[in-house]
Amino acid sequence: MPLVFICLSVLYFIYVLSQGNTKMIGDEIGGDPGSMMLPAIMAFCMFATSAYLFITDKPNENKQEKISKEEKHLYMLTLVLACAYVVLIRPLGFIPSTSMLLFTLCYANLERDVRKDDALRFLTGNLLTLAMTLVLYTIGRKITRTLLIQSRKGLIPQFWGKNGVIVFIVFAVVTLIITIIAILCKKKWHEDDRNHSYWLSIMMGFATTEYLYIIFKQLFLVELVKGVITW
Amino acid sequence: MDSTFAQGLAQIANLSTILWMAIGSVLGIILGALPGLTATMGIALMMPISFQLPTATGIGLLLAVYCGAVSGASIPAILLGIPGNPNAIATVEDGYLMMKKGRAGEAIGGAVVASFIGGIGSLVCLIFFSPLVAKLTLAFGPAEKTTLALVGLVIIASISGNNLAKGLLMGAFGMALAFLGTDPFNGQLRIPFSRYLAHTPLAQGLDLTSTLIGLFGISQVFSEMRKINEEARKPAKVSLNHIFPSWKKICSMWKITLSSLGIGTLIGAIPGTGASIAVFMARDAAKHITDNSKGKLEPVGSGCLEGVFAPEVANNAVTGGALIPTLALGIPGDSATAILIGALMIKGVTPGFQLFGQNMSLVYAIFITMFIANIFMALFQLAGVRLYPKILSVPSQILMPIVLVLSFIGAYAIAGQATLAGIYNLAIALGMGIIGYFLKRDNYPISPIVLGLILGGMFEENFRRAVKLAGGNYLTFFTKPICWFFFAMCALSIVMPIITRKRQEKKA
Repeated sequence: MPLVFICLSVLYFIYVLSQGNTKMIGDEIGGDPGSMMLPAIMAFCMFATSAYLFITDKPNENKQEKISKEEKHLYMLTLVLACAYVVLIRPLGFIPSTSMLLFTLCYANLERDVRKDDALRFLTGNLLTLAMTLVLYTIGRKITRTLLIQSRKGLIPQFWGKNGVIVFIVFAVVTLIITIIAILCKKKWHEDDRNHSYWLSIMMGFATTEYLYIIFKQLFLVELVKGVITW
Repeated sequence: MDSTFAQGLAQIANLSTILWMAIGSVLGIILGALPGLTATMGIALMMPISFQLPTATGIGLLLAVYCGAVSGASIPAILLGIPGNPNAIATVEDGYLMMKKGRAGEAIGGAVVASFIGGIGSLVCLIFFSPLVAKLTLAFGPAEKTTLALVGLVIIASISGNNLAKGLLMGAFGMALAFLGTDPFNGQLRIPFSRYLAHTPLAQGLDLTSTLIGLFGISQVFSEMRKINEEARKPAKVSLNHIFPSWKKICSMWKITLSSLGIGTLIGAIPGTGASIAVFMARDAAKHITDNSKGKLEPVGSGCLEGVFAPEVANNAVTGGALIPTLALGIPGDSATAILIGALMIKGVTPGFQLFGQNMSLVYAIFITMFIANIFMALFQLAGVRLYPKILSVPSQILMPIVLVLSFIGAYAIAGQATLAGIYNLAIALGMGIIGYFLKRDNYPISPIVLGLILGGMFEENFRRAVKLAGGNYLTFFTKPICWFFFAMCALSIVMPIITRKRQEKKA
């Protein structure tokens, strides 16, 4: 690690020097030290402390815990999926990318490994999670639109068209559906069943995504990217 | 005072604030109870939600999470013998022994009462001392503020972690990150590859919330993967009948309560120290008191309420203590309050005398929310005393992916309607998460980075203003007595840990 910081501080220092004189004309007399003085000092401090650590702080290799093959797989999977999420959220949209990320990570973590022969289960699980999320999303959207339009037309009292009331109703309906699904799943897939982690991951995937959508998009009006979900 | 107090009260006297604080309190207790999730992480994850709320409501939510998480850590400490986070590390010995003796209910109830006393007691200190400390800053000019920021950073860098050089390196790294973006004085871009990045949100520097979420949320997800093969420890079925300890017992521990309250508040007020130091000091003081009580109190370490009470009063007293320098000076007491400062800054509120002078109603609102947060913490922890043990059996294999997604959504949501800025925030959070993971792995403290990020702006602004006012004379910092005082504090905080370590090495 100290070596990384030595390189970083040297690069930072070169960058600072490459900026040349950053004082404004008026400040040549006024005494402003310019934009790059403090960054240059910080680059020096980083270099000095990391060089000191490089000399004095020897890593104790015995202390480093060895990472198992399964753990390495999970690290890589999480890292790759997190990067893919950042890149794909815009074209795919919030709902597909989040539900799929959640299912894949939950399932891989519960199974404690990523194996090639599990590819089919990963695929079907992702599709099922996405389908369930879309069903919940569509129900919520339908309720929202209906209440908004009806209240604007004056067919129902305006109270029902308020954002807080709509969010509450959608939240209650979604919670009811999720609870029913959870009870059904619990009856069918017991903890010792192989399918347990599969269905649990699907549940976590669609329920979490839907709740996040309700809180951030519907309650706080954050512009979550729609992507391929056009309705 | 009356009108500003009424204005402060008006800011929070609404259903929305109370509801959000109740949610925050429950979430905080759950976060505190789950091993691996910390108060700091909880506040970082809640920051994007607080950003969407009015200032007082948002701060109330974060304070509720903070108080709840500090107190909730005692649940696994008592039921499983493992602390939810370092705040409850000293509660384990007596708490777990009490559980084994069949007194788990009393231990949990006692911990809640102690946390409440600690929280309210330190709030009284906060109300009394923070305006006084803030008044002192009236005498501070740019030069004094520069050295004050330096003191905050150096103290935290020297105390956090067990290696001074690592702390200082992290502080410098945090400051270097703070200087990225546009120069506040002349508008010059200070980012590498500015040709390509000039028209991106990065031109404004690193987004603070995304950086904090990455450092505390995402890095923790990667760190927890090492425990992926560990089964969630389910607490043994225990009787939770006698939850509330008797008044007589509580009153008999008044010496322990007062000493722990004093220690917690004082340690909390020193930047960089935190609850993990305070709890051991409070426990030691309680041991001394019980040893000299001539049999009136049970000895600490024997599985008694005294051994639970002392650290639990102290760790919640830290919350109020840490807010004293946070609100009065703008110097955070610990990493959790550093994030609180970040939340205030995002709302355009600058802690320090300016806050006390110009926005006293908000200060009152913060005091009241702190009071409500402590009441909620006690209420919800007592009400859910039979429910929280069940939460402990939630496997981290499910929790960690949810934390990862929450971190991402939090970083994204802070950009509001600007989706492109949101995507950049995601990338910043992920990048900082990866950096944070490797730093934690090699025992580099994260708190100094956060302090560097938060104090960097204050340091630069005042440094350049001071030099300008002195006509370019850098020696201006050595002409003011207050600056000398702060320099002395800097030197002390660097030298003291070195001397202490040398002494320990000699003893060993």
